[in-house]
Amino acid sequence: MSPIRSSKQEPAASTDRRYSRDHAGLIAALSDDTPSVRRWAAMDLAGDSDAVDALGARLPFEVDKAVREAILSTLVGIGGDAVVQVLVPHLRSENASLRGAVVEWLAQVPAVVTVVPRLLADADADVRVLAVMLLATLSDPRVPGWLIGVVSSDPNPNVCGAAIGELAEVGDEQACGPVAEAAVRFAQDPFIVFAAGVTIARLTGGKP
Amino acid sequence: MTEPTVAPSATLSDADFQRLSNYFYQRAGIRFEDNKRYFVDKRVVACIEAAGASDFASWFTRLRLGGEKALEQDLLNRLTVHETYFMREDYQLECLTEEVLPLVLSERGRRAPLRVLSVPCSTGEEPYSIALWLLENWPEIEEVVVSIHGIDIDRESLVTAAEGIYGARSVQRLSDMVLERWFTPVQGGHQISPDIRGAVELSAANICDSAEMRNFRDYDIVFCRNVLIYFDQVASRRAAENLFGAMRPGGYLFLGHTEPLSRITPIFEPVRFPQTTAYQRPWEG
Repeated sequence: MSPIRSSKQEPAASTDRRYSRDHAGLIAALSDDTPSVRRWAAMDLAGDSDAVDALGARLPFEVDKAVREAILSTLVGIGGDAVVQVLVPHLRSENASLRGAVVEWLAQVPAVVTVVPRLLADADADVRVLAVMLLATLSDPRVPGWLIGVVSSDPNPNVCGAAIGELAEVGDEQACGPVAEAAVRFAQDPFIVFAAGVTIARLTGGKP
Repeated sequence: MTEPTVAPSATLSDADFQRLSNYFYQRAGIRFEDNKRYFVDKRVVACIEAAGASDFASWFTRLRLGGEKALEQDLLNRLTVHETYFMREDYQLECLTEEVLPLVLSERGRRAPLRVLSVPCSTGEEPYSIALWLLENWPEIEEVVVSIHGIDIDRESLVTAAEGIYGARSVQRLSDMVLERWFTPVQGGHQISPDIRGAVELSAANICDSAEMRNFRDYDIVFCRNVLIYFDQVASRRAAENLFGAMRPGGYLFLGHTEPLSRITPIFEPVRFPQTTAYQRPWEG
């Protein structure tokens, strides 16, 4: 007889339920003191489009990474314009970890493409950098065009440098002209000049 | 995917290889260095041809920006290894008994059964390997009750697992002594002992389905190897959340060696051991 036992003989783990599993109960559970209760609530709200605002409102206060991931995962699973509108304001959060998580998850919502032009034109350069990061993981044929637009016109070297780096991955030879022009525009910035050289070499297969 | 119509002459320049290598690392966590050029080039050219693309650039644009999941799946299938056999990546099993289980037992005591989950368990090689490894290499098993649970989305695989009959290739890494002790020669290969088959519980569930996965709770150890890389980002993150939910706080997760979890989700804490890195569900509070 093996000392390994079938788990069929074990009692199922008990679940301490203080909230009803309906919409109102789950929304209330999002503010519980215990992270695992909040996490299960966020996961159980999957597919509940009426919960979008409550989930979004919880995000800036959520200190537990696993709960935050569950909230974002549920929101992205619901998807659509309403979720994009709820998530985009968090790109201005003071919490860098939240900003990064929101960018990663927003890229998985197809409706985000509707706000990309607005984000790329935002007055805040930090938001524009995040928008470029968003483009880096977005699967959309307009991405190279948007990046070329940034490289051609953005006055901020951090935004421009980020876009030049991304073009190395998703661009083609059409991007070489705007990238070269950006290197001239930011000639005093050694990073831009270096990044432009690397990107052009990549896009031309190493040709000068 | 369309039938091949192209030019078998598609080739990868150094820059193409670099772009592909960067993409694949971001997508699957696998980095190909220059010494893998022959392996990679041959398979990527096959992908380009299968997609009916005229060259690397047009294929890569479709792959990266076109939302064509079939292209991504084809690339993953060709550049990764799908094989399951007993004692695959057994350094992780060594890590389990040498490093992780002593920690787990010191943290949660010996009285409650030690719960181990293997997902996806495919045709059973992994959960049975865990059982064999513990029986052969972990003396504590005489005192600690262990339960092992395998789950897979494919019910046919589970039927095969329940039968427990394996060909020579599957058992090639087992010693003659282990084969003799725990298997019986049968037509078609070797059948694992009814004691072990009866002890390892098998269930059908989809790792990406939170409703199904919430039935699996409080595992101390989870093995989920070489599957997350096949999912898109949303699915892999959701699967990671479901694994998190299946573990008790302080439990450990083992992934395949090419699957750095921190690239998928921040919710686990990587713990480096001499043999490998495991991922711990953080304690609460």
